[in-house]
Amino acid sequence: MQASGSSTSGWPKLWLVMIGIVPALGAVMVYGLPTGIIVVGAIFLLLGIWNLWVSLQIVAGDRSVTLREDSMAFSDEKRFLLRTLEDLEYERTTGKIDDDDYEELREQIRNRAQRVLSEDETELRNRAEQLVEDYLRTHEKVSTAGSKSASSTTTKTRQCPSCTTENDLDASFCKRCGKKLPSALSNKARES
Amino acid sequence: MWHTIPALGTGLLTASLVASGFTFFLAALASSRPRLLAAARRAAYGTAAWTTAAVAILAYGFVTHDFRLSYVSRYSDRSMSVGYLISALWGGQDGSLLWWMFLLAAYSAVCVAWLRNRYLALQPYVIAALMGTVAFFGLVTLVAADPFTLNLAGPPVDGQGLNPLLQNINMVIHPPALYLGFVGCTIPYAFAMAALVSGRLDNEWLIAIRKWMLVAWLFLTLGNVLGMIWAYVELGWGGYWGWDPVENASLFPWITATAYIHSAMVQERRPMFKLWNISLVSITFFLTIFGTFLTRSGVIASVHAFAESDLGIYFLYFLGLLISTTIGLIVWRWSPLRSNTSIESVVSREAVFFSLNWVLIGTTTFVLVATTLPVLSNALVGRTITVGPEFYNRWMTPIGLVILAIMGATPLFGWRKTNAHAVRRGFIFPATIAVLGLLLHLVFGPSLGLPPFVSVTTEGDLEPLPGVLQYLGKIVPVVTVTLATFNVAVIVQEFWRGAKAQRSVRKTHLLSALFHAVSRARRRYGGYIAHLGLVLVFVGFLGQTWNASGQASLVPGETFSIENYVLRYERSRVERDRAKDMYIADLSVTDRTGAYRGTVSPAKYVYRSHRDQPTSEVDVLPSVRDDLYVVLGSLSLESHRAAIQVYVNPLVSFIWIGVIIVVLGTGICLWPHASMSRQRKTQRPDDGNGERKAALDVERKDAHAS
Repeated sequence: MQASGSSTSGWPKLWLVMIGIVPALGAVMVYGLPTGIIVVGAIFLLLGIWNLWVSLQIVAGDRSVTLREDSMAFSDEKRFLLRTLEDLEYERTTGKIDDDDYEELREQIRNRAQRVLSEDETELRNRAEQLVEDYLRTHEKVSTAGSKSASSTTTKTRQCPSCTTENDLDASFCKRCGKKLPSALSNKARES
Repeated sequence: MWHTIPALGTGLLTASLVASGFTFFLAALASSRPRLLAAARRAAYGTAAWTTAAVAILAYGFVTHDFRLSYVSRYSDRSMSVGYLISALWGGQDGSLLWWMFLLAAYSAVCVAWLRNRYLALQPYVIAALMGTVAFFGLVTLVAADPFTLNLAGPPVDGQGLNPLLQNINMVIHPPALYLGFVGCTIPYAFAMAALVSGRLDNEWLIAIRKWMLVAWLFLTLGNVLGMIWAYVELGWGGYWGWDPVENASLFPWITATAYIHSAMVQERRPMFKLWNISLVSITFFLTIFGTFLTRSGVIASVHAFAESDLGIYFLYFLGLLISTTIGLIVWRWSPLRSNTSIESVVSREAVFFSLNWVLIGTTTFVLVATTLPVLSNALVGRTITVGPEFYNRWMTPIGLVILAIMGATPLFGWRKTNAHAVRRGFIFPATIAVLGLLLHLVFGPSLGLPPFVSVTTEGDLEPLPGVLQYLGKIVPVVTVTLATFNVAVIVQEFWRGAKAQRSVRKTHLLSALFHAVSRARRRYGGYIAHLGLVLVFVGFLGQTWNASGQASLVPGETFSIENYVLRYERSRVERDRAKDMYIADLSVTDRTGAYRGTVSPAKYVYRSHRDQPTSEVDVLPSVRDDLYVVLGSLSLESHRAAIQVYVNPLVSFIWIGVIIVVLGTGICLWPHASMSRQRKTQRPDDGNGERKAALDVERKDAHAS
C-alpha cells in the first residue's frame, strides 16, 4: 500500500513519557499514592483525548498523513529465510538430511528468497520513483510560482530609473521624462 | 472531584467502548485507504489510554477505600495492604473483565506501535480484529459487570475484604501473568484473520507472529505454573494440579499454542500445514474465550470459578460469532489453504510434527470433553456425570509418555525423509544412555525410595483398568525415567553436534564453538533448552507415583515418623496482625539418623473479615529429592493438641527447576540477534539506504550460506 502522507507512528515520544512519569512520581512523593494514581489517570485521559482528536483530524483531512510500506517486513522475511538456509546447512553438516533433499529444499528456499528480494527491489524502485516525482512536482511548483511572481513585476511594467514612472514593458523611452529606458534583459539581470 | 469518581469511571469505560468501536470501523474500512489506517492507529492508542485511565480510577477507588463503589466494598477492606488492594483490581468478576480489557487494549497499542509501517496490507484487519475484541470486553463490562456501580444502600463503614485464599503473593502475580497469556493469544489470531481476509496466506503472517506467540506461550506457562504454586501452598491438599475445570481451562490454550509453535516450523520450511496453523492459532484464541466462559458462567462447579452469573451467555455468543466467522473465512480461502505438498515419508520431521499435532489436539479434546462432561452428560443422557483427578491421571499418563517420546525423537529426524544410516547414527548414543538410565533406575531406584515398578490401585468408583493400561500403570516410573534419559541424551547430542560443526568451521575450542552455535541458531537451541526443562517437569510429575502421606494428632513433645522424616511437635503459638489471627504449630524435623533438617510451622489464619473461612497455611520443607509438606488441620488452644496432615512429595522441586529452565530456553528463543538490533538502530523506518544495505547484506550472507 502506498500513499502520500505520513507519519503514522504517533507513538508517544520519550519526552512525552517523561512528561507523564515526572508529575506522577512527584505527586506520589509529595501527596501520596492515591494522588499519584489520579495524576496517572488524568495523564492517560489527556493522552486519549489527544490521540482521538488527531485521529478525527486525519479522518476529516485536516492533517496530512504519510503512510508507506517500509521494507522492514521484507527484511524480516529475508532474515528469516537466511536463518532457514543456515539451519538447513547445519542439518546437512550433522547428517540429518540427505544431499538430494538438501539441494531441493535449498532451492525452494532460495526461490522464495529471490521472490522476496525482487519484491523488495520493486518496492525500493517504486519508492525512489515516488521520491523523484514528489521532488519534481514540488520543484516545478516552486519554479512556476517563482517565475510567475517574477513576471508579475517584469512583464506588466518597467520603472524609469530617473523619475520612477512605470512604463510599458516594450517602451524604449520614459513616457514622462523622455529619458531612454534600459533594455529588458539588463532589468531582469538587476532583479535577479 | 471525589464525588465524581464513580461517574468518571463509568464515563471512561463508555468512552473506551465508543473509541474501540470507532477504531474497529476505521480499521475495517482502511484497506487501501491509508488515511483511515493512520486514523485507526491513533484511535487505537486513544482507546488504550482511556482504558488505562479507567483502571487508574478503579485503583484510586481501592486505595482510598471508596466503598460507595459496590465492587470496592465487596473485594477490599481497610485492613488490606496496598499490594492486595491493587490485586483486588482483578480479584472479582467485574474488575477482572476491566483488567482483561485494559491488558488487551495495552497489548494492542504495543502491537500497533510495533507494526509501524510494516505489513500494511494486513494492518487494517489486525487492528480491526483487536479492537473488535476490545469492544466486546468493553460492552460486557459496561452492560453486565460495571465495576463502577454504586452501592444502592450507600457506602458501608468497611468492605467485605478479599477472599482469604486470594491473599497470597502468588495470587498477586498469577492472574496478571495468565491474563497476559490469554490476551497475548489475541494478536496471533488477529494476524491469522488478517491473512484470511486479505488472502495473503504465505509465510508473511507466520513470520509476523513468531515472537508474539512465543511471548503469549511464555506467559501462559508462567500463569499456569504460578497457579500450581498457589494451589500447592494455599489449598493444602498436598498437590499442585487437581484437574479442576478452571485449571484445565488455562491448560487448553497452552497445549494448542505448543502445537502451533511446532507446527509453524513445518510451514516455515515447506508449503504445508497452512490449514493446521490457521486452525491452531484460531483454536488457541477460542479456547481462551471458552476458558473465560467456563470460569464466569458458573455452568461447572470449581473452587477457582467466579460466582455464578449471567455473563457466560455473552461469551458464548461471542464465541459462536468468532467460530462461524473463522470457519466461513477458511471455507472462502479453502483453495490456497490446501497443501500442494504431501508428507513423503513417515520417517521425517514433517510426519513427526503431524503426529504431534494430532496427539496435542487429541489431548485437548479429551480434557475438554472430560471437563465439560457434567454439562454434556446432562444434555445427552439426562444425568450429571463428573470425573475426578484419578480419571485424568489414569488416562493422561500414557498420553504424557507418548508426548515425551515424540519430544525426544523429533530432533533426530530430518526434513522430507531420514535414511536408515542417519536414524541409526542419531539413535545410538541416546538409546545407549537411555538403557543405562533404565539399568541405574532398576539398581538404585528401590534404595532411594523411587522404585521402578509400582502397584496400581483402583480408587473411587472407577472401573478396573483394562489389562494393557494396568500393566502400563505398573511400569510408568521406569518408562518415564528411560524416556527422560533418552530426551536428555538427545539434547546433549544436539549441542555436541552443533559445537562440533562450529569448531570445524571456526577452529576454536569447544566452549567457544558451543557459544557460537547457540548464538547463531537461538531458536533451535533455545527450544532444546525448553525441552530439557519440560523433561524435568515430567520427572517432577512422576514423583506423584511415590507420594506418601499420613496424619497425626500430637501434643507438644510427641513425634511422628513418615518415610525418612521424624517430626517433633515443639509448641503452638498465636500471633495477630491488622487483618488476621494466626494459629501456628512449630515442629522440628530430623531424619531417621537423627540429623536436623529444619523446622516447619504450618498455620491456620482466621481473617477478621472472613471468620467463617479459616485458611490453611501450609509449610513446606523442600529438598531436591522430596518436599515435606505439612498442613495444620486443627489446633486446640486449651490442650495445645494439633492435628496435622503430612505429605512427602518426591521430586516436586524438579517441576519448579524445570520451569525456570523452560523460561530460560524461551528467553533465548526470543532474544533478538545482535546483528538485527544493530541493523535496526542504524536503519530508520524511512531510510531507503539502510534497507538497501540490509538487502545487500542478506544477499551477501545468502551467497556465503550457499
